[in-house]
Amino acid sequence: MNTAADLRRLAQLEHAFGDPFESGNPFGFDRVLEADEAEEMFGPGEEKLAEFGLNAEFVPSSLGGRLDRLEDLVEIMRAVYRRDPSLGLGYGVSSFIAGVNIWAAGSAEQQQLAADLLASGRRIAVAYHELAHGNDMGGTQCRAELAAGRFTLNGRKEVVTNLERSEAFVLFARTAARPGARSHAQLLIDKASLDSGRFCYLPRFRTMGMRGVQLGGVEFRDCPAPESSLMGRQGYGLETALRSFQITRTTLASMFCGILDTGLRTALRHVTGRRLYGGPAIGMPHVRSVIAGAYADLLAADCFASVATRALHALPGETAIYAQAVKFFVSKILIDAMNDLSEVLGAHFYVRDGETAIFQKLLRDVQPAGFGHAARAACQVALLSQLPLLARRGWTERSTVPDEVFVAGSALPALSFADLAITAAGREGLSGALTSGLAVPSAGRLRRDVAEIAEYFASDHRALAASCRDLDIASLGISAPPPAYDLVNRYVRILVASACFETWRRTRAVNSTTFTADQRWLAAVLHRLRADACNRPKSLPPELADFLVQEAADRITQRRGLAFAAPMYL
Amino acid sequence: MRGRADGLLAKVESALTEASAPGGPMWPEDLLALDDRQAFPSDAAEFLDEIGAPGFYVDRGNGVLDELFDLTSFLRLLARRDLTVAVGHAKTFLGAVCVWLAGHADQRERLAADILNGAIVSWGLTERGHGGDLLACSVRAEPSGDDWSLTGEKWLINNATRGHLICVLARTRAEGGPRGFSLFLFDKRKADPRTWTTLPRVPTHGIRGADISGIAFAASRLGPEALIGAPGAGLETTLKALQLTRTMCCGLSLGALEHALALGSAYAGRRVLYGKRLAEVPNIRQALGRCVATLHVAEAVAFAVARLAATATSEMAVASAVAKALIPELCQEAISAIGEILGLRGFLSADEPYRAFQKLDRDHRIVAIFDGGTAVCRSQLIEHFPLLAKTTTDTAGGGSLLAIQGRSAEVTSLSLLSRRCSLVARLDADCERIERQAAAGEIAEWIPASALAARESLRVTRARMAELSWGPHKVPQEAFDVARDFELCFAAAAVCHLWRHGGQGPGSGEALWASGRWLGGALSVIENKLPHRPRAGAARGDAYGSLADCLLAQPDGRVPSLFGSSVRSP
Repeated sequence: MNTAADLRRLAQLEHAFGDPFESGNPFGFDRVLEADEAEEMFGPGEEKLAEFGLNAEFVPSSLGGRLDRLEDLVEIMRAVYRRDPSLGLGYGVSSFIAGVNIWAAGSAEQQQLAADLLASGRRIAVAYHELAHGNDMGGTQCRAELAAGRFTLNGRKEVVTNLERSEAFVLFARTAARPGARSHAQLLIDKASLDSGRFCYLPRFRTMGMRGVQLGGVEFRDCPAPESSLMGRQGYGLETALRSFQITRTTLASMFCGILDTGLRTALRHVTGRRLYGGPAIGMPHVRSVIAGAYADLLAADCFASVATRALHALPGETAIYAQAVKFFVSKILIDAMNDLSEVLGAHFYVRDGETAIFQKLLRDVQPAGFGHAARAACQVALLSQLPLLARRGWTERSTVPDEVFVAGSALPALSFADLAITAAGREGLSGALTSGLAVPSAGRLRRDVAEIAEYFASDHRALAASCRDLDIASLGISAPPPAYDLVNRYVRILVASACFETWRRTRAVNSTTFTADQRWLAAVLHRLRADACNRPKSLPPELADFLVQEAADRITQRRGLAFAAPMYL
Repeated sequence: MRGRADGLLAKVESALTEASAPGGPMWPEDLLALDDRQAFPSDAAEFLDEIGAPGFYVDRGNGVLDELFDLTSFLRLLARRDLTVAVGHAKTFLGAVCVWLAGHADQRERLAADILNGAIVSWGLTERGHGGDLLACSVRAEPSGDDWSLTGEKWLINNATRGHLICVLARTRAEGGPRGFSLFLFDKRKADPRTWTTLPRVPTHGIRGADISGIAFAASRLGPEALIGAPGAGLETTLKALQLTRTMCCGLSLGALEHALALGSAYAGRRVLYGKRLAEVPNIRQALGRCVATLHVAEAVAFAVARLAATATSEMAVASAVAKALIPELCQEAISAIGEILGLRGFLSADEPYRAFQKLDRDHRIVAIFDGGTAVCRSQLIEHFPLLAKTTTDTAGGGSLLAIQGRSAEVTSLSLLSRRCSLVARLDADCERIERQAAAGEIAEWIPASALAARESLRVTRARMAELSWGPHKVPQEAFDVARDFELCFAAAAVCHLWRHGGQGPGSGEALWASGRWLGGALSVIENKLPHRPRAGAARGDAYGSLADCLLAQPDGRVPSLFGSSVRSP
């Protein structure tokens, strides 16, 4: 679990917001939905977050903020996502992404400027995206040319959160015409330093989900910017971004878990109160199966993302792999689980008012998990190119993964931006941890299904290594043959199975009375992972479905979160 | 093998094309703007009235059994342009169908004349609080002399406000039960306006412009001529009518997927990332090709089930449930896959060439809900397990189930219980022909194995159907999974049967039929999900890639359909 200070802040935040389902609550879903309908940010929510000082969560404690442990930050942000994902993305996350890049590459002065801006409740935007290039950051056209002691900016940035209502922004721009990875820079631009006649804002971009988020754009026309706005070394912008993205891709995907938490609560409340065919809907095995399945998916997503988040502290040399895998896996399982839940809501998932109205908003808001801040496909390709090296190196050397990566709340090394490696150089220990874990005699009495499925993934890891060892790296770019992409799917499932198995095993060794130490959630997650591998229905055995439905119902009664950390809502 | 209304459909299509020009009543820009404003597409509806679309909703003699596929195709033509228009206009058929099935000659003539004059008919089945559970319906009709008095509320009713007439299912025996309900045609134009009122429009996730509302009756008086069919026969008539509407509404899914494919294809053809057009990226081609193959599966099932209405009328309870459960699910899966290719571009809702995607994605999700949601249809299928487990193979092979010859089908043959499923009984014989064709080198040699996987899966699935048992209200999740397996086998049977008996006539998409191109793709989509897959992972040529080529070679907005120009029957 998280630190005591974090828990206090979380309780403070939830208390300030109150019960989201309560209709009179000025911070409840009714108000959140009104803002969504108006395509505006949820104003009272923003004020409340400002009062709470959410920005301080993004600033390292060395710069006066409250950011020490990323899992604490994630837990706070999930509380925001549980209530209104637009608030999470539109108030918080863009400043966080900007911040991470500044903490990673900015000068002491730039870091202080950013810390001060955030401390005073201002925003910093991240101007990376250009519609014409999407995830292909190397193709960036917006230029920043250095001459005579200043940069001259030209070109456009599009679909950028809070661009217009921020005080400053981190700009990703081309500094040299030649193609390749050393032709870009990041600049921290204080808007006050720009000549307002040399740039203009583009009209707002409107979207189907996250409708309140203010997505803007900018066009520069020979716009001067001070030379001091350069972050880090010129030409190294892409490298800085790739290192920072390990943090942001992992934690952002994890924050999205808050959406499924609320989706599950909404669905469970609905089927508990509804009578169908002469009995309560929640009594129907099919309904129970869908709810339990979505809950197992939340646990899988949470577990994997949390392991990867702690790895950012403990194994920064390996997270170039885990971050891509988290983004690839977590986004998809969250979207799929929301789709599954819509079935048990029947027509109520389609209606934009009434007690379940928040669900359709969440169903729209969850979509950017898949393409925002790096598309799943881009992560898949990135992983694909790593497979041969992993098979030859990391999967044979068997490095050990320390306990603190699996056991929530353990002491963790301080986050070091400098230690995040751009490439894992073929080394990661997580996928092999399953095999090692199975071999530990103290693994104790495994359920038969757990033993069997864990062995299935351990053996698939061996088979995968054999298939990948001799792959030709040159053929593994974006044009790789489709069957090669399936190797990534297999690999990521092994990583997830391993993260879940070891989280259960090592947590149980510390405290056998927690939910995390209960083997049944693990069994449920493994069942679904294997069914997914076989492309078969992911239904859980009734015993596991009953266990998870009961757990979810109990947590709702106790007003606790559904993910592992199970924070109190009020 | 041509549909009876092919000429009419072609005329409709060319009128629609004309109406889609800038400023026309079906201009896509306007339709998107209406969705944004949540306004009903009245101009489009008026235009459809003018071109004689209501003619499709009027029975031409046998409860429309022979013409069901015309309706499916008509709906598809509308849906591929705009689902709101399709749902908002074609509802009149749903409102009228009970009269076509159970009304007496007088009622039928009167209603036909009314509809041809532009009357809008709505269908009042569902109520607040119990959705698809029709036995819980609480609107009641009490005899009052020769008349009836109608009281209660119907909710979430398409066109309840716009409609002139509404076909209402009402309780006529206090204790309810299978014979406790009757159908009435309520005519707003004749009723005392003080005794009924429409309910406020319900805001929805998709089809935002549609009139989804309700109607409340307070002792509304109905004359004896309002009763449709015998007193007490309301539920039976409704369930039979649903067999037809569930069949034709597959057209909505076909249209939505076709529209999505057109957008995905245009995008892949233009978008350049990492120096490559997406259309040249093998994995993207694979994904697009799989979606084309999914469209073909859906087309084959939709066509087969519509024809079974005429050729195996008494089996429609099973066939329609299969189509309604499987097709929206498969099509949504493909639509989501295209959404993943479009990424942000399918999420932007304004000033974006691909923004129609976000609308069709929201819109299409309604299809899985209405006229009996997926779980309702699967439950209906599950009730048939004992009978389906016993269905014997048609060793003789039999003739085509897809050709309507000679005598018209009779609505009296519709039955709530299907004693067998002739289509899957043909699978053996159709597989044998496919094997012979492969041996003769007429189709790719790997195709028979896919067909045989379906045959073997059918055997396994029947065995499981025979084994399963459960107590009242406790249908296990396993039964739902078995039901889905049966649906997949049914789909394979439809594909193989269509391959055998369709395709020779003019108008079929020749390139698709050559050497089993579409057959291989369609069977691959199904095989990948089957319970029995002996050669999972075995080479199967480039079935999807070759379908992607077909797609990308089409002029803009066109999609390779089994039905040639996608308006004709094969």
